[in-house]
Amino acid sequence: MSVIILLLLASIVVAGGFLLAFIWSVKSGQMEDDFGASHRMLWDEPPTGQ
Amino acid sequence: MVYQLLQQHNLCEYYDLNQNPGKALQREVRGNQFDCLELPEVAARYIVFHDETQAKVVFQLPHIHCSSCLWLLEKLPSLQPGIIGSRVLFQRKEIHVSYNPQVVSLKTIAALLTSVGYEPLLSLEGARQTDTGKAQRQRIIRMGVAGFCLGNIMLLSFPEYLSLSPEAYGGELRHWFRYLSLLLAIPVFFYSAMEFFKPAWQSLKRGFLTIDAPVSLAIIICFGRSIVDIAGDTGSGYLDSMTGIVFLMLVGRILQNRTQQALTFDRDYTSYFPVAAHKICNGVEEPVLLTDLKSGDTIRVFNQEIIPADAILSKGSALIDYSFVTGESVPVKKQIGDLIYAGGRQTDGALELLLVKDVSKSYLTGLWNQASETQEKSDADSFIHPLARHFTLILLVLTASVATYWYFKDASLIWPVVTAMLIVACPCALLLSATFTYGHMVAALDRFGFYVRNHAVLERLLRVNHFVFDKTGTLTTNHGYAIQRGGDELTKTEENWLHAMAGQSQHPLSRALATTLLQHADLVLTDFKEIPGEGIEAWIDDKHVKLGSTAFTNSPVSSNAGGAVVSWSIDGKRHGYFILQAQFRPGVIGMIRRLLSGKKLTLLSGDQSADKTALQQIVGQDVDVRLAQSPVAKKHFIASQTSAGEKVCMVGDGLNDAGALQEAFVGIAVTDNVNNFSPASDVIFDAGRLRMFARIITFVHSGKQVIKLSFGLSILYNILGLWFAANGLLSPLVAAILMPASSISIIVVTWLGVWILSKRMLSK
Repeated sequence: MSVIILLLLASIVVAGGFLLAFIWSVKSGQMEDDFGASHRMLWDEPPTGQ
Repeated sequence: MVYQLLQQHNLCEYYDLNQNPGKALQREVRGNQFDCLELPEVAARYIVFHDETQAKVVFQLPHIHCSSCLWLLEKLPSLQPGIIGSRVLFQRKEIHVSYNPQVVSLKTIAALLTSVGYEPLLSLEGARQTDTGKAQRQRIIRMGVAGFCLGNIMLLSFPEYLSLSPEAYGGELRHWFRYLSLLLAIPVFFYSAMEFFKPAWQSLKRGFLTIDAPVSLAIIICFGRSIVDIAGDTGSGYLDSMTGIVFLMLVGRILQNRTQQALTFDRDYTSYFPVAAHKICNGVEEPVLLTDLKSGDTIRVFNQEIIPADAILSKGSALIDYSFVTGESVPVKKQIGDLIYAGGRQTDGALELLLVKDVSKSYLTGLWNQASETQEKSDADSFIHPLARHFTLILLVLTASVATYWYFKDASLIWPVVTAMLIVACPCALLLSATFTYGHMVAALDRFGFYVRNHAVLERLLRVNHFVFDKTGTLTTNHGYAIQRGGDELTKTEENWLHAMAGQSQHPLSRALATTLLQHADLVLTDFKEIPGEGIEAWIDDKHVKLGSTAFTNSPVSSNAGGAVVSWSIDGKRHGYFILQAQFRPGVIGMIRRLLSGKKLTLLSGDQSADKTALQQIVGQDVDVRLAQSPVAKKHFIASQTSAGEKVCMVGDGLNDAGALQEAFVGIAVTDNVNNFSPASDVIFDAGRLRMFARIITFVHSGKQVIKLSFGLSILYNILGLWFAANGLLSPLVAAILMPASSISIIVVTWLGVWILSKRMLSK
């Protein structure tokens, strides 16, 4: 029985971690601009070799 | 020029990214254009962070429109040493630049941005506030918290759904599960649900009932009953339903409030005027903040700049474009000593002006300030709230009668049955129907260039019974003209001459003429002169050809028909003229006819000279046409109609309609470029889509059907749930199935309904 409770608490703690990550992402403005980030990652860096 | 700049820095990839990157360069950077950024008061509006070696500035760049823009603007550090980094916020059309103030100045950055085609918007209003963004952010966090708690509570309630025997699921384990659920429900109740409690309480204090009030009541009863159940060990409560409803309603709210971030609806004259002007002090020109200008000052205004205050022309040749202020598209020539009203745009060389009024006391800004004093438009009596009141009333009557029934049958069951009923029949379904439908509709309308300020505008649009259109600039374009000829007949050669001459000039009338006159042969003009505000003259084949105003050509023939007149003369012997009339945008007449069914329609025009009967023939006899309406007259017309009990929707453009737009029940600002300045309004509408307007109105009306349909569906669920509850059979399993099922079917029905409607009505 107590094993289930232990697992339960562990799962809530893990999920709580994700919740905190979500709150952080909203607060740091990552939900503000969904166009920039999705396009930025597609551009290649110019070749840097001499 | 842009290409050279990019070539030097190996950035030609820019041209490979999109077919048509960038926007044609409007004009070159003038040497002193950004001098005002050297004033510390001005710079402080844009700089968000500042220390010895690093500063960060935020500019608004209205020209951002594609991924190439993003790419180029984020390569700024390689274009200019001293810039450390740049980051674009695409949806807000903002750029954040960090730079080293010891290496590069703010002015240089602004000039660099302009030279690559993205001129920063420097307006008197300054950096924009983002209060609405903050509210939405908090809503998203509330939704996240509610979602997290919902998921975990549903997991914890699972054993309850299965109705396990006490041996398999009982004692300590059951207590753990239930109390954990309760613990998880606390943040939902005290944090997430505040979104509904606060407005409900505020409106109750002011004495009226909004949809938030019964919703809050249901949430509170749900939570209270669950605490009693769990503490008394009589059941598991309805925490899963409660969190689920809070979560879904928050999703609806977020969807509903997801409006265009780059558009501002509350603009006043301060965002139209520049931030600073060039004041002349003892013969020296220096930048001054616009708010520091006083009457009596002398300022210099350059080509394409806006006149900031009513002033008298003291030097230079003034050709003022008042198209935004009065709707008149042809620039007006002013003589030295003439009074020039604020808001006009100089389209010729530099001017010197003596200010006669302060910026805030000028004619137009005065009109605007007057307009903004009108009270807030009330949303209390919208379409949803009467429905909500009826619903609440019926529910209370029903609950009372069920309570009396159980009082005689089994008094101990009154409390559980009554609470269960109130929980099941929560008007959340109604709220969800409305929020989701309006949310989807706002998004669908965005795609058709119809940007509404918020969902309440859609509800108001439903009740409009009188449409008022502005003519100049709204129904007609500022570019296309219908051209009539008069006077002597033109020969082929002469037509060719005039074509060549008109092609040399940048005046809007010349450009319009050049597109209609036929070119028969190539012609190189050798002796050509343009006199701004008067006309063009040239010597061709030993003939003196003049094209311009009637006075300029000494033309004996004239016309008193409406529209701008351009005369021509050849050697002073042969004379003729063209009448250019602004043309209606394609499809707007058909749109007006469609709109007219069952509604009153008025056409207001600032034109003095236009021919009323001709106009009446074009738009139809049943449209009320009023000419020679000044900005104040327009506003008074709207006010008189409103006090006569009409719900007026004003469709207009520029500053001349600003007062009327504010006065109207729904104000729709039509603009050729939605990112340009438009006056304060409820809706910003892309002028190119104006012919869709009637369809958009029908679409908004059919949205009501979608709400009714989905609401009817949820009433079915409610009746089913009430039947269970009234009979005392509402087990946690039934509640857990019924409530999400009703919410989810509402979401699906509203989405499908709006999608089908927009396909059928708008996409053509």
